[in-house]
Amino acid sequence: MSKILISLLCAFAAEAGRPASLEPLLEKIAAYEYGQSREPLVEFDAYVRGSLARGEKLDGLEMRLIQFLKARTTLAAKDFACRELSLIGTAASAPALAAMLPRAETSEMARYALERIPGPEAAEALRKALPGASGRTRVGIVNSLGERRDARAVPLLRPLVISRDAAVAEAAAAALGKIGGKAAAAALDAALVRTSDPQRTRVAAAYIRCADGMAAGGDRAGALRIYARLGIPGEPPMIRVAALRGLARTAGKGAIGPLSREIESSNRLVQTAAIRFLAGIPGPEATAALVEAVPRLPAEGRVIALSALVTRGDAAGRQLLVDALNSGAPAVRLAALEGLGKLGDESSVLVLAGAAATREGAEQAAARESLYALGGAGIDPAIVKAIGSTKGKVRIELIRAAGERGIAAATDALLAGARDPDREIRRESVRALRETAGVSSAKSLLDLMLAAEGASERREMGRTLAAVLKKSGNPPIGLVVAAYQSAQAIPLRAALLEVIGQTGSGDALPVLRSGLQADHREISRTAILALSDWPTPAPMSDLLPVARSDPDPANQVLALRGYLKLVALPSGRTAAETARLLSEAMALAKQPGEKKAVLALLPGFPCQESLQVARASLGDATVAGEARMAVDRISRALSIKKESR
Amino acid sequence: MKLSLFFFIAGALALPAAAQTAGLQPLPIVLPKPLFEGTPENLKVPNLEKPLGKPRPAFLAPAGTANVARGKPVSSSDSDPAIGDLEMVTDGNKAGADGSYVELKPGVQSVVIDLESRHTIYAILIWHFHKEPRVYSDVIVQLADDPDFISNVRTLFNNDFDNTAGFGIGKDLNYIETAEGKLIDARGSEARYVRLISNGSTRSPANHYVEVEVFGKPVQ
Repeated sequence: MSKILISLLCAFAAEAGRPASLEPLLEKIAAYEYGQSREPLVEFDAYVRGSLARGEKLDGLEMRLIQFLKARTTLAAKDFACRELSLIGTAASAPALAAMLPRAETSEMARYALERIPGPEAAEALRKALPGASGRTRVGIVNSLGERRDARAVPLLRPLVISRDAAVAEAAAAALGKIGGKAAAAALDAALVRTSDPQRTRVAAAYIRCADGMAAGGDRAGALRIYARLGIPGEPPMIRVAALRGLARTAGKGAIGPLSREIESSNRLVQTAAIRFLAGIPGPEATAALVEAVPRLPAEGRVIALSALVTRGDAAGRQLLVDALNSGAPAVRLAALEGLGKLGDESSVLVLAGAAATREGAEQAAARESLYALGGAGIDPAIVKAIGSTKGKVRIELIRAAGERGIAAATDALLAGARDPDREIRRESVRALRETAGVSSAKSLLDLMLAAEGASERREMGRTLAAVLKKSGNPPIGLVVAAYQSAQAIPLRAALLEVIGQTGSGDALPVLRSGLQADHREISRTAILALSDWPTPAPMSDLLPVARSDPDPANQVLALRGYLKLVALPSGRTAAETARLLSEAMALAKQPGEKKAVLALLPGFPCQESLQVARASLGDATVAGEARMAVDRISRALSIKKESR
Repeated sequence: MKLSLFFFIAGALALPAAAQTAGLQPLPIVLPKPLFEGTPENLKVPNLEKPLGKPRPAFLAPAGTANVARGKPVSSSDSDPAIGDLEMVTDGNKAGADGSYVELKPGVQSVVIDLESRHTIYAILIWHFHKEPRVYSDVIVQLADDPDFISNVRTLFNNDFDNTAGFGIGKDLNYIETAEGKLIDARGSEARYVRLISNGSTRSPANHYVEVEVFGKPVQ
């Protein structure tokens, strides 16, 4: 039955009130068997729920359902009636339902209703049936009394906790735990000494539940007595953990002492729980207890305790983390390094940089991450200061941190680092400057580039200069263009032209275009490559003539490749227009490599014109396979287009 | 590491006597620690090479053959990688963990290793990414005499079966990345530049390189 139909029925009930007669519906339900259509059941239920929603009295209907239970109806129908009585039943239903309790096939459905019907009569029916019941029926009734939290059932349940029937004993313990209160607690306390495992552990678990209920109800003293009784060594670890949890929740700071003692437990489960519960208690006293306990813990416990201290965010744990960096256990060192990222301050900067410089693997990675993540207004100034006062690998780590953190105030220190005699310090400083330097540093960066030793350093510096210039909406490339025009050495001119291209500035295009005409091949090659990587198709018209007629065949090939890269960029052209451009490129392609590149692009622009270009290459033995592949892919795309139309 | 050493020694011991006397020796390959176990079953990739199920046999090359790519300059179609640096391709760190690989932009991307002089190349060993099983698309490995790959270009490996990358159709098989890396026979070709192309993987459209080793000798 769909939800829509149910809603319709509810709406029907709400609009029209009670149906003309429920009898035809009840007749259908009386013969209902599991697996048949539930339509009449849903209709009846919708009526009942609609009536309840409107606050209507349903005494008459309850009486009718009680009769229904007594009549010769199917078990499935009785089950349904019990479910409806669980919604509308009163004390009046209790006798009929009680009569169903002893029979195994009707006991469960009757309990379903009796568990939910309010008032003492339903509970009394369950209590009365208990002594005469056996087996699963008895277990079920015990469960129902527990669900009803029936305090008057405690005297009946008390002896059952030590029953020889294990299922009954288990159910009775659980029921007493749910019922709670002093009487239930006393019953469970007594059972603790009269049972042995596994029942004793079940009794203890129920006793803890009982204590939790007492604590929630305001009887903190009673609850704490139980937690103290079960939190001691000798009890099962899970019970001790549950007791310690209750203790921490209920006693607050009062739990610090017992939990501190349990931190040294030889049982890992208890120890871990004690650390976590202690960490969950607010205030400096709990932090102090953790700090005091850590040095005495084994490695695994120290890792958990250090993590707990970090989670608390209490600076009192910072020195402990620093001390733990010298631990013999790698896991402890790793936890300390990770923790310092969250708990560290200015004093942690050199500690972490030192660790990043000297440790390996996971510890080095953790030290770096923590150095990059340190929070607080004093951290960046501390890093800048330390860059100037350290040497070697520690300084390199600090330089990297300045870059990762994008510390603008570190720019001067990094510019100094870029002139350092140490090659690695120069390289890391230049890379960090990409993140820290602003456009105002462009002149200094250009000077560094002009003074750079070797192509590799010049290239790195050029990338930094371009990255910094690009931070401006309209990159001010005038300085670089002037340097390019006045430079004499060809490698330097090429490097400067590369920077001009990397900025993507509109002012760069005329300079790059003029580079295409340069006499020296390194300059024209750089110009072609820069135009090939241009972010828009604008330089297509510059590259095509080079591809067609540059005196250097290598430049022709490079220009054609660049032209194809630009053709592939998003544009407003139609597929047919692009196919014509690719046809033009195909005509210029002298090597199989470039022809294959054209054939790879064609399927991206499926149209008859592309198909023609691809077909024209079928006879070229050097690219016949690629042409066939392009024809297939274009044809497939065209047929899909046609089908979709 | 111990396991790698075992395979290396086992490979050497298994050498036929004829090979040893001909001056051929197993490549001095040191494998990184595997970062995953078993063979993935959910990689639905056409033309996929069946995993060998055992360590790769030793690859024989003339005595004295070594990794000549270590520390050599690397350029790329993506000059500004999203993660890592291009120098990671030849820095000798092939652990595969975070911080040991470079990530290039999505789509067809390439890296070029400049061996700085002409070398006789016997094999190329590639680790794109071996932290988890994945298959990179359109893997192409080429040699050339110039950095622009215009003259004397030779293709050693190409599994781009439909010319998506635009470097021609290749007939090599797709393969799953593992800590063993992909070993490509370079057949003693001479070249200065090595170009590697890929077009994303089964995991992401981005491209990655943990390490590339080029086993060869300088041309005298």
